Amino acid sequence: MAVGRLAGVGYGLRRNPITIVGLTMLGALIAVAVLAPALALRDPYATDPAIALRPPGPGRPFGTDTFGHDIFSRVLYGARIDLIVAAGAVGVALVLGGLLGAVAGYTGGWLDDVIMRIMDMLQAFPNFILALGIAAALGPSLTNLIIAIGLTNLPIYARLVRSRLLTLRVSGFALAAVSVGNPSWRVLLIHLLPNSLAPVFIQATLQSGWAILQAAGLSFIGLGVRVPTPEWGVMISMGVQQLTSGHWWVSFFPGLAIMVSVISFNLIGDGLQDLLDPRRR
Amino acid sequence: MTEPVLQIEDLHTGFDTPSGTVRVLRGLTLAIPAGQAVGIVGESGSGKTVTALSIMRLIRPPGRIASGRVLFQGRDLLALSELEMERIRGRQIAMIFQQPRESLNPVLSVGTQMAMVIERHVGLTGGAAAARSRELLRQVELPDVDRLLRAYPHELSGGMCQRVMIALCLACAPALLIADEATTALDVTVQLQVLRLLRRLQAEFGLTLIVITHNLGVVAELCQWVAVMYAGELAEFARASEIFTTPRHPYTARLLACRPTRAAVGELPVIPGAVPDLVMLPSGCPFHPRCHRAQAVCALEHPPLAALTPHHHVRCFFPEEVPA
Repeated sequence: MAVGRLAGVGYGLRRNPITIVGLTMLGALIAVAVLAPALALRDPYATDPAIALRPPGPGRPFGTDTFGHDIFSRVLYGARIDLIVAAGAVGVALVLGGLLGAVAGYTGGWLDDVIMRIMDMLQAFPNFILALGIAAALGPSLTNLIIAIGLTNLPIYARLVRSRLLTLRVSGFALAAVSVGNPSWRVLLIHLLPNSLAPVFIQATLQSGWAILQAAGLSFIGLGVRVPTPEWGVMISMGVQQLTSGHWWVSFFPGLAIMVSVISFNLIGDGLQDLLDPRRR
Repeated sequence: MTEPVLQIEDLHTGFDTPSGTVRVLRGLTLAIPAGQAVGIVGESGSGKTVTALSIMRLIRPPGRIASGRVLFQGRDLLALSELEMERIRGRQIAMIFQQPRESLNPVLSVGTQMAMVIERHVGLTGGAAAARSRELLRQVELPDVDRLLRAYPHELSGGMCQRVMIALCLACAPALLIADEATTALDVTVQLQVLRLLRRLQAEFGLTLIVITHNLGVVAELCQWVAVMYAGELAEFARASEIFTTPRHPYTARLLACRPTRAAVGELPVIPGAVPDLVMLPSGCPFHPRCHRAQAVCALEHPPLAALTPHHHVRCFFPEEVPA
């Protein structure tokens, strides 16, 4: 019957062409990230002062920056870093937040109060300011960037899973599962958690776009990955000074890459919502 | 009467609410004879389901079992640790619920859910578990079991879901099966099929069956014994044949009179009043405000459970006379 389910998804997708656009865009991005070494025209770290700040043209489709980096090659390599940050940060938030929310929603009582008040504290800060604070405290690196963005997004998943579990824990099959001799941890992990995942996956997809924006934002102000690294946010910040002097391409192409990836995640997220919620079909 | 497999002694279960403790079970005492089917009947709010959940120790806060003993094969279930109780549930005592569709996990296939129970309690895995699942599904008279194992609960009818639940319960060959309004949500023809199935399985496996229902027809179809509950205590306990012909508690008598029959024409009789508020119970016998036989003493003193014959217990000062 698993095949039957997939066929249902296929049917839903055919009626939802925008999701296919999103999936295609994401597929292309992932392909670019994987194939970056083959597709790149030059080493993304190679500098050449002789060709600094050249506009897009033959041999350098996106132009070059002040150091003479080839922007096309750097945008390709940037897909690797930004997709890893998005997946990593959302993964951290989803796993930690999901488990915390599950425990809070299932057990209730004082543990629920403690966990959810900590989530309130995290959410009391403006999202970006909190990420900025955590990133600044940990120091700029790729891992710390993932941790900072993951932690700021954690309460969303905790709340989502908790609210699902509050209704699921009093459901018939939860009671039935206990009545055939399951210990409560098994009921939670095997029966209740998988039933609360649909909204979580939708949220995770939508959040991936935001994670890229946050990563680029933090790198832009110097708290994410550091300068020569080919990360889209870093590359935009490297081109900011040149914008006023008419060298638009330095910031434009990494910006375009961010836009494309955020849009692709949003399209997929919206599509998933339609697909998984029968009322919106 | 055979040895009781389950003996409930002076069980008190209550729910703590802001307006006071709702005492749902107030000293329930009941013995379930081994290998027999016992029907527990009563109006909504009489404590039938809470009795079942108390036996299984599935009462959740704000509910709690205040006192009493539940002896199962000589062991007090209420004194067991949660870990020991997990070994009793499913393996020794199994339960099927009112909403069959909601009792199955919607994201797992029937085969997966059956295999999980079989693996956990019987220790069979893989092909052996699948073979045992097929055998169990055939036992509950389900057709096309191979397709069924791959199906998800939403693809099945309510009756099929209940049969799957019964098959799941049979997986570990429990000594006691509790059916809590197991047929109420099903339509009448399916109801009858499931009842006949339960009756056949009870005879075949020597199961002890507790059938919780407000439908006296279900009891007549299935049970050898009947326990009538009122306001959290036992009102009458006797053989089913005896209850239907010579009810002794006025409440039982009125309950039977309310049954629609083919002979009855016009309006059905009703029992005046409603089930008492379990926070503020009437003094004396809880049924006295609605009772047609009540006298002054009924409002003052709580009647004890009296054995009219060794197998017929009634909690009433003035039981109905047996017609000569």
